[in-house]
Amino acid sequence: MIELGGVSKSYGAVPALDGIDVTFGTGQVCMLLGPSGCGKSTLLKLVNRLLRPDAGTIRVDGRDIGELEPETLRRGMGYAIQGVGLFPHMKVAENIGIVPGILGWPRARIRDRVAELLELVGLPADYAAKYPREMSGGEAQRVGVARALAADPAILLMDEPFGALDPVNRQRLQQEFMGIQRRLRKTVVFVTHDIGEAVRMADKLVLMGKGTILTEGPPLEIAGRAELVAKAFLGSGFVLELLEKYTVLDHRHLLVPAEGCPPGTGRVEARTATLKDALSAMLLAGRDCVEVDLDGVPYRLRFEDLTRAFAGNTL
Amino acid sequence: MATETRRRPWLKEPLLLGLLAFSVFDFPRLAALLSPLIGEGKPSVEWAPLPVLAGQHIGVVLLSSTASFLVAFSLGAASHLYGLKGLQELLLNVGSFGESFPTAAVIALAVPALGYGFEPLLLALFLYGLLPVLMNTIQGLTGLDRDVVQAAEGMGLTRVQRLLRVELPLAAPMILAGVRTAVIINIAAASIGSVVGAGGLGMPIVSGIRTFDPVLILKGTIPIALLALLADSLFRRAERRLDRRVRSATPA
Repeated sequence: MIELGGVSKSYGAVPALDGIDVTFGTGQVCMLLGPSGCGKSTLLKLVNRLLRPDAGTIRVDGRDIGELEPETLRRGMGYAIQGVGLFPHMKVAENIGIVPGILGWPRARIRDRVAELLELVGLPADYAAKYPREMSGGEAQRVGVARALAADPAILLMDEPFGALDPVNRQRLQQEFMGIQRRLRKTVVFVTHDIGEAVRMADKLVLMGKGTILTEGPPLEIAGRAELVAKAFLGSGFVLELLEKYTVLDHRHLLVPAEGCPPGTGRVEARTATLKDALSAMLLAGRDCVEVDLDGVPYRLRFEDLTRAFAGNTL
Repeated sequence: MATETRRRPWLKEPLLLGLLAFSVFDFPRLAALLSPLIGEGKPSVEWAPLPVLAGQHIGVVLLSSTASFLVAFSLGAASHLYGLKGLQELLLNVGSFGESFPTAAVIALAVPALGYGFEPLLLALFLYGLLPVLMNTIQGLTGLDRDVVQAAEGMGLTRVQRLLRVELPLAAPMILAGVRTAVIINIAAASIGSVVGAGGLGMPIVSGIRTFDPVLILKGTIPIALLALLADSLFRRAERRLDRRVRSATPA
């Protein structure tokens, strides 16, 4: 768990963060969302001591990070940034293996770890011998994630790691990262200015503006109570992004027995289809309901029930 | 994306080396070949055979450049390691000031202290070689991609580990370019050494100027020019090689 208490930071006379109190829970993905210059990257850099706060304390698992050696602290935190930051003069295997190497792992163990991580991020094993310049942006970004995970840190700090990618690659990497996260359960602090990315990935969403936290909480909860300032940034499409976050299975309490489906109704798979897919199927078929297949049992999702999905935070 | 540039064939360097050897070991024949252009030389006294002069020339350049590199590189790397921006500015200012001093003046001032011969020349060339190496070392290290440097810091590399494993390898082509400049300057500047008795390829040039003998001037000038071209070409080849290794990942 990472706790910030009363943290302020300014660059010269320009305030970047003003009295921040926030907690990032163990095993959770916390998304820091806000416009450029709101202080979200500054906040991230305070956590691994690339910057020192002017006031306030930062604790990691109860320990004040000011008392730790910065290098020790950082080696316990994976760090992935936009523009990748891969070392161009090192092969992929050397890039991934650099922190384990510093930590004194034996060569064989590093080699095994590199192979394991390449598989985890979905790259062929022979990529270990490639140089960063020989890869596409998406592949390099995958290596960036693998490098952050290399020494199996409990905490991952990610500063717009997918920021330079095209929308298709970006969404694919988000999904893959969430798949990895479901298995590894790291404490993730993730900076982004992409509302969709923030909503889809967040266990906890922290919305920032001009050095302060506007609102925080699970995305669904924020959707219900978003303050005016927050609404101004999130926009009215915010709830539509939420449709993409949840599968039909997540909202199975909305399902009703399948009887009475008119012919020509669309059909989705409960485990894989998101609420957005379900809504799309309704729109495409021109019906106000969709057939849902939940492990072979047919159900029906009606539009009127879907409208209740987020009302009063029913999840 | 894979952009492995084509290796350049070894053509230019052997050619230059051959010409250099020809001009040093068999200058009379070269002069005969060039006589329609430069006319006949006057009979002159030979102080030392041309190969010996060339050896002295190369020797003093190697020695002074190595010394300049060691000192300037250490100063540049150390000032970067300890984040001494003020010192870096001071070093660069002192360096440019030193560079604006004419070589002849440095040598003249050094003679009373060090006497005639090899030493004042070595001192002058050493001083001249400092600035290019220092400047490129400092600029090479401070001008690195911020993302890469910050990634290294954020991953928990210590200051020294960052310097040795990330910053120096990435700045290497730039630093090498500084060494190239220093060497080229010194190859030309070493000619002045002949006036203080340090020998070198400046000997025939100075004699040629005194006796109005263009052939004698070319006897020193041609090998010096070829030597400079050869050194330049070899250094550039090494720089390209290093540069290929450090070229950045994403075509931003």
